[in-house]
Amino acid sequence: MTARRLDHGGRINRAHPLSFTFDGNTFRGYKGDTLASALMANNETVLGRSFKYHRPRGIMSAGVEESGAIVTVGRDASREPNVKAPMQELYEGLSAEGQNAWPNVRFDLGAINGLFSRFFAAGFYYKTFMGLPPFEWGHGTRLWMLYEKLIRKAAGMGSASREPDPDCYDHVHAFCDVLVVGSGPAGLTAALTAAEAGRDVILVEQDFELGGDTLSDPSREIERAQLVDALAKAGVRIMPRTTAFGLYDHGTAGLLERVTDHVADPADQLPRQRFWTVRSDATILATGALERSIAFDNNDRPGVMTAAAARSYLNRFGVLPGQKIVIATNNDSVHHTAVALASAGADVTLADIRKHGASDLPADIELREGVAPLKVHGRSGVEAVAFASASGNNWSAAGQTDCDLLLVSGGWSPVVNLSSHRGAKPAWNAELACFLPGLTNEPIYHAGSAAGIWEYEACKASGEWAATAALGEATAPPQPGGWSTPIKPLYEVRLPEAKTKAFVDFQHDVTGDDVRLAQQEGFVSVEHLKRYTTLGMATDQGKMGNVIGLALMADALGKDIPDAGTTRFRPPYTPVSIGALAGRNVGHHFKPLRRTPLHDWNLKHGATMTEAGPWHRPWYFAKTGEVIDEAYVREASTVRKTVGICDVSSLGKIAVQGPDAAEFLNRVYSNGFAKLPIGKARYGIMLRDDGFVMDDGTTWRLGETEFLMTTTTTNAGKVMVFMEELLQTRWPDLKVHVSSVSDEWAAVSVAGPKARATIAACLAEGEYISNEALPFMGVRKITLANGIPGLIARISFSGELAYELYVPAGHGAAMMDLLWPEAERQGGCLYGLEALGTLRIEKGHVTGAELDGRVTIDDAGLGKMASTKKPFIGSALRQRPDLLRHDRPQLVGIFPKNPGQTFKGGAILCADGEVSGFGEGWITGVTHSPMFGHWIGIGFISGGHTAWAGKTVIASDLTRSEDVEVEIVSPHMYDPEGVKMHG
Amino acid sequence: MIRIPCPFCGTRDHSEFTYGGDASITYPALDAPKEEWHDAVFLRDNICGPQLETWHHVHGCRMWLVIERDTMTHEIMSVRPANPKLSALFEDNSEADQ
Amino acid sequence: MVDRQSALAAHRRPQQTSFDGATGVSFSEVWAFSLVQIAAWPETLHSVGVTATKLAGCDAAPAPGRAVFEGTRTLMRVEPLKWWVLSEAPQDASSLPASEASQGAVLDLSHSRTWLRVSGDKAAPLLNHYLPINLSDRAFPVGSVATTAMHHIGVTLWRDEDAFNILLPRSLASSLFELFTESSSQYGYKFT
Repeated sequence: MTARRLDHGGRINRAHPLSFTFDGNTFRGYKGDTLASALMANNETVLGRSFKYHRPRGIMSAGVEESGAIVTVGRDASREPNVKAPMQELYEGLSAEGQNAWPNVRFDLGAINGLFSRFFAAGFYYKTFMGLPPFEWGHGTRLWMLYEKLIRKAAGMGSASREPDPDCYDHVHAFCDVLVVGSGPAGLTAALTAAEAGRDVILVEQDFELGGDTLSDPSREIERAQLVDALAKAGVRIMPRTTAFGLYDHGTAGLLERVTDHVADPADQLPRQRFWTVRSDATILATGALERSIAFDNNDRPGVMTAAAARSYLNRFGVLPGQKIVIATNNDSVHHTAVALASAGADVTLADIRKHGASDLPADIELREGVAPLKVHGRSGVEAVAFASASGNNWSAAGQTDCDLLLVSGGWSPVVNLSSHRGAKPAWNAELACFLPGLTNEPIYHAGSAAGIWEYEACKASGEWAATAALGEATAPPQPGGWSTPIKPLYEVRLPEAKTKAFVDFQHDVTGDDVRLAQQEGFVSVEHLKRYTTLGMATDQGKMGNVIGLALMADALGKDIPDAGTTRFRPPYTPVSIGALAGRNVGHHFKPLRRTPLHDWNLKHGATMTEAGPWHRPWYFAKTGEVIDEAYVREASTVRKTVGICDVSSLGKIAVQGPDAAEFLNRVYSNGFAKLPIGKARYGIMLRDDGFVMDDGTTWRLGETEFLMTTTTTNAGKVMVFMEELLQTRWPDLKVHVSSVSDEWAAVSVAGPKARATIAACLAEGEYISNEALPFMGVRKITLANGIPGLIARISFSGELAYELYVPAGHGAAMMDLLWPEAERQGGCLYGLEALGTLRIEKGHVTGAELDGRVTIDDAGLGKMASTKKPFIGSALRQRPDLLRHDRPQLVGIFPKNPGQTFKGGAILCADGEVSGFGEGWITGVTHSPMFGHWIGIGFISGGHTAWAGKTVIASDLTRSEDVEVEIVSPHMYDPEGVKMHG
Repeated sequence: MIRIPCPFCGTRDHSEFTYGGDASITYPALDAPKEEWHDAVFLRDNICGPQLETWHHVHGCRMWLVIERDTMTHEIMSVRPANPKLSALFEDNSEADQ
Repeated sequence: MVDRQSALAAHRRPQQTSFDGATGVSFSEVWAFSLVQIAAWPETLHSVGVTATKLAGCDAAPAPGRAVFEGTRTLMRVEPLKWWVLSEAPQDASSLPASEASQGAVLDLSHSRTWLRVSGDKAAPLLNHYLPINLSDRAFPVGSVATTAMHHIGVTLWRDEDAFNILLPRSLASSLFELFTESSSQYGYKFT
């Protein structure tokens, strides 16, 4: 190949030169070039090395199907591997490298693989890991584990950066009446027709210019420019550099917009790419068709290209791809290409397998009829092509011609991927030798070459038809076709019994022989063929090779192509970066962060935060120099001795209102709520339908028909949804409304012997909370000294004299500014989740760590809360015999036998001498206990603590620590009578 | 990526909904025998084709809906509020969706 | 009585960035407002609608997906049986209408949300980064209301003459506002 830039012609901007590098060498191009056209203009021919055999590869096409010029673009954290050079817009300073080669693509030591090619045939992955081919040496040993590492290192094409992606990506939602994919003549016409009929239209085009094929045809330029202009005036939303990569249910399309991949120095504020989700009432696919090659020996050499690509490089980019050119074809489409190349000064020979196919050729083009390419001579470029002619069913050699560029046109394949995503099975058309889009009931219409229409005016007319169909006017679709002489199907050329390197899937180095081998080995289904040979599984997803592969397989099976079947296309049509799919949901936005109303106040007062589901909650409040272990012990002791304040705002809070509210609560809680007096709160357990515990919380009766339910932080949403389901799907006669008020209230727990005194000092005049004014489990409205209205409930999770104080969320900080100075004056502290855990473990109160969905109310030692007087959700299935067994794991406390030892949550409890299997139970929570002066735990063991009195139990933790001897005790370790709460 | 026509809110993306369960199940009375509850909670048909499902418009109007949907093609044949009293409301008013 | 604190307090410094010389999005917060939920039973839907209308000082109750505006008050039908009366002035709890259980239920939600206003020629494109709702003038004209999801979080959106309004759950307001401003830097934005 001796390619060169012509001094005129093309759409590039010759007033705007650009410089770029490839493998460290600097080259020149122009604005409007792609990386491929610029490299070609500089006569760079070897741009990559093939996957398995490391054969030299060059530019094979001018589009997304590119399978040879696959390079890495960019540096460091922004490097992107496997970029198709024809799809990369050139910009100043672009840096690109060859892949899959060492030291470089032009001279690659990996080419030695070619010598072992017989071991890399189809199925080699499977066979190689049985034992070394060809005789499976080492089968049954673990020999393969040695060479697996080497193979793994050599696998893959480009390598990705390991650094975090420095770019940001956006998601966008869009809506329209008509989505048009593709801006060739059919797409432009469709979009304009729909827009002029008053519809809201979005037009997407993966290229950076609109026009599709007409960008390579100067004779169509005026009309193209007029169409584009009319579109803008008609209000069409035009999106270039945007690929429609998938169609999904109910008119949804996924688009990938490349915002700055073509910009040398993009602004920081811009995202690199945007992932659009578009919902449209109708979709028009004007996605064009891709040219096929033919399988023949050495058809992968640099200098072998599809024919229309050459026309693109000549007319769009002003590059003459070769000087002595052979064009091999089986169809009419190459005519313009041949003429254009000859006019540009090349020697052109046209080899048409058909007789009387080509007509009206200028005299300077040599025509050879009845021949097809048999073999390419040359290693890193084309030097000559040998021909064959068909005699009966066989080929025989038919001479040879020197050349530096071989253009091949084996036929055209309409791009049917998007409607195939929707399950429309493409249908084989034998006359046109291609798959046409399948039928669908969805409002998806194909136009232009995507529908198998080849001729320009017919493409425009079909675009108009598609638009009117999308608008709801059903007329007969135009007929596919448009060649004057029929195509002669041609997929492979080889002499009988010849061993050839005739590639079908270039990216995965799959040859025609591989397809036949798969069939011989019994892989006769098209799905097996694909996976056994890996044909169609590379980054082009079979765009170049699927049809040829199918044809060869059908031939080997003695079937017709449609009987051989097709695999189903799935999104994405071309690769989509993971960054685009993630959008802004990365880093601290991976999931939304919930902050309590006291968040900033807590941080200001020394809180170290921890995650509790989506929330940040204070973990501990370390004084200067304290570590966490010191802080939580101090906090827990202070609560037991004096007073502590804890932010409990994250708990779920649900307003339950209505004349049937009490009846409703009575049905969902296991214990009685129908007779809960006004002004009282009650602890309640909720079961699931299947009888297991779902959640626990307290519900407060604020009025005859007004309740405030609290739930655990994590289950708030789940409980709310369950209650709505019950009310709407099972009990629509109950007059109950449930509404989330979790964010309405800021809430703190004030706990400890000095709790009453602390709060009393912060109340408005006339407010009292003596034991009589506010007894245990009492609830009422309250006003604070600074006028803030709120609710107070005397509830204790810590086991101390305690109150929960609720104020409207916007007043939370003001409430703390009142409460904290008083608590501090009393010698109290702020406490966080760690100390809260200590306090509740000492008391044996359950949390989500115990109520993990596998635990019944009896397992948790709360069987008395299961009412025998009324049925409730879960009451029936909780009676299943297996759930009532006494040897089930039950809630217990755990003490170390040696008070100096500790054990971890998650450790398994086993009988002494029987440390094995699942043991007898497990530990769910652990803490140092200030009250006991040693480590304690809470958990479950079969039969409960009475079954293990006096016995030694082992806490075993295989992966983290040594076994520890422990003693099982009642879970209510501290103040079992609950004396302190009732003070 | 289905779109669901909520009778109150209009057609919305699936991201606003969560799937509930089998809408063909009638749950027994709370005091019914545990055998009846077992069947209602655990036994399900595995249907290829149209089936009745409950969905919750959790990020919209929070209505529970009964939807007839084809499990193969995702086509949605019908949508109505699960609460029959709301169904009635939508029918006799001009509470047309947007 | 003390002032109410905003969930966006940490962001409360005037911010302005422009891009390409433009400021396409303006954010502002309505701090202290009153949000009262009035819920009906299916049988009392119409009479409760009248109550809600009176409370909001409007002439007629809006249909699903619609809002009516009356001065500083907005009345929205957010769920089949629930009305929201929004007022740009905080109200005393004692001024809430009494709940008559046979008619329906009244609930004060004034502190549970953060009220953000989004205006400018890039307001709709910005919101469409997160909200899967058609915000074109044709599909979402002035007076439209939608309860929808942003980042898997329920939000309420409506449009008045000057801006889009969005109610965010208070606990998530800061996190969501950060997402808004990060996506707005490509349009230029200000927060006053």
